[in-house]
Amino acid sequence: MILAPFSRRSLIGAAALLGPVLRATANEADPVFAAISAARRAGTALTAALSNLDENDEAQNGRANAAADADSDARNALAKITPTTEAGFRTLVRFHAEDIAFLEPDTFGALALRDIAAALEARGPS
Amino acid sequence: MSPNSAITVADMGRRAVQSAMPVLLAAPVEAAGRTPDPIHEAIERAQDAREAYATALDVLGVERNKAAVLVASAAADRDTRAREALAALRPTTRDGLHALIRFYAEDAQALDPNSPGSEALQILANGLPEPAPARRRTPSLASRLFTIISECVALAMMTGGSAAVSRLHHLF
Repeated sequence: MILAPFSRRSLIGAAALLGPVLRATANEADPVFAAISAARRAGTALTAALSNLDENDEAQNGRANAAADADSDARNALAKITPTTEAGFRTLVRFHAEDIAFLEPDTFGALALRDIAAALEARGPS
Repeated sequence: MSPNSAITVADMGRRAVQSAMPVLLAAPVEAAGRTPDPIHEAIERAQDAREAYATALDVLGVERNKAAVLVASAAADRDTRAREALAALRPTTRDGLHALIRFYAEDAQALDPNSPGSEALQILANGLPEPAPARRRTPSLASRLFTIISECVALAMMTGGSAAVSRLHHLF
């Protein structure tokens, strides 16, 4: 029999080893991760462009405007993506909770997102 | 009193039910292995309180008298208490978590529309699967048995036992 060299135990062992690899691959395939990374990068670039901005410097203004456009594009792209994995959903909730806490702390939205993120954390790892 | 009298039989039945009651009451929780997520009830309370508060404010807009002010003030307090109770709870199920996200997204739209927080909540809510239609809870086996036994005991007490036996016969 072809399968004879593979005992049931060795197949189960292989499946157990493959589990984390397959899960990691599925997570990488979730487009929300790339979109979150792009939004984070764009946000960091915008913050850098705005810090110590000399409004009389045309070149600096141009770079700041370009960074603001890139940030807006990245956020719009992220808004159109629905996470396909539980890990992606968690990361998206965490991103929004941190983002809104930074943009408008102590508002209703920031507090609601904080509570939702805390509820997800309390549920343990996905 | 004759040991076979209807009252004695009924008393024995009552005793049997009383002795079995702790098991019958505990069984649904243990047998089901899961309890309903309390977040759903807290969300309903918060929704009710929000609606009552909105209605009280509408009334206050028309009738500017002391009674309307008192009603609106009480509704505001109830709304605050319901929100605090909700914030203190953590959902215990995935459905509960999704319901909480939907509630906050809806609430943010009403309270603080077009803010970044409201938009972020809306994005999260839009990505959620459609909620399952509300299902009517099926009574547990223990609960149904308890009803059957109660009915039989009541019948035995009223008729002396023959109707109870007949009812049990029909049930099985």
